[in-house]
Amino acid sequence: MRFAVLILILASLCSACGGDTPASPSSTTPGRATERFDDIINVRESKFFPFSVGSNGTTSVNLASLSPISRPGVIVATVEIGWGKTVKDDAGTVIGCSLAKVTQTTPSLAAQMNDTLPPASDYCANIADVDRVIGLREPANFSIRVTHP
Amino acid sequence: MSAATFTDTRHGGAKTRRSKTFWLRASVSPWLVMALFASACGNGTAPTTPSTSTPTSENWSGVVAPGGQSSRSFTVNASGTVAITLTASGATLGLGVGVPRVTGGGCRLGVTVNASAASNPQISTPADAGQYCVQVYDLGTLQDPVGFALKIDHP
Repeated sequence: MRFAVLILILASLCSACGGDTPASPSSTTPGRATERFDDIINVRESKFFPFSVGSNGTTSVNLASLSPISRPGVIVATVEIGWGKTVKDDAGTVIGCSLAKVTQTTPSLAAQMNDTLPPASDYCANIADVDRVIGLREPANFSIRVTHP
Repeated sequence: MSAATFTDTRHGGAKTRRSKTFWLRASVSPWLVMALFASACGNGTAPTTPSTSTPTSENWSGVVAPGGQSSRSFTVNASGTVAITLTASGATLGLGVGVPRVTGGGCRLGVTVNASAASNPQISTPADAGQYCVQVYDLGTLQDPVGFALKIDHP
């Protein structure tokens, strides 16, 4: 009887412990992917690039570079970047980007747009030269980074 | 707990004696064992906080030829400030930071300055985590190759 009580006490003590297992630190940067879109944009032109969002979370769009075609350095100009949903023709071919949000910006190494997008496979990022005064005066190389879950 | 191992012997008193020994030890040892358990409890390692990125300083030196450029990539592990200091240079040079080209090497610049050697950063800009590059280039003024040294500070 006393032996059984002893076992019972030990068992309860064992069950009391075990709650001390350290919780895994919550990750501040859950699995995210960064896609690069590099191309040339001409004066008054726009270009878009499809991308997918795999799960809920913040999607960032970053115009990281706007540089001359044939010399080092940067182009000082303001262009419009944005994101939206792709537009398809009857054959299912992506033919455009219907913008949901845009901002005018200069290049930066930190994202200019941070938005929570629901998972979908038909998003697009867009860049456009829209302003005759502060926009492009020559063709430019650009680099856009889209970081998403 | 070896005292709990009963061994039947040919001597009739042995079992009773060992049983008493067991319960004598058992009446004491539970408190000892409980104390051990109690001391074992409560020492769980506290959850570690997510590690923050340690500031990193990288030094790089090279040579820029007339009309040329030289670049190097580096990795920023967390959002923060990237600071570039041209610490030594034989001439005023173009200094920029941007993202590495996807193909073919080199750098697509996002921020540039015309820089001479100094002890304070000529470029200090916020950056997200990711791959970056620094580039030093001729501003069109070089007659001969010049050496340079720079420091990259980033999260």
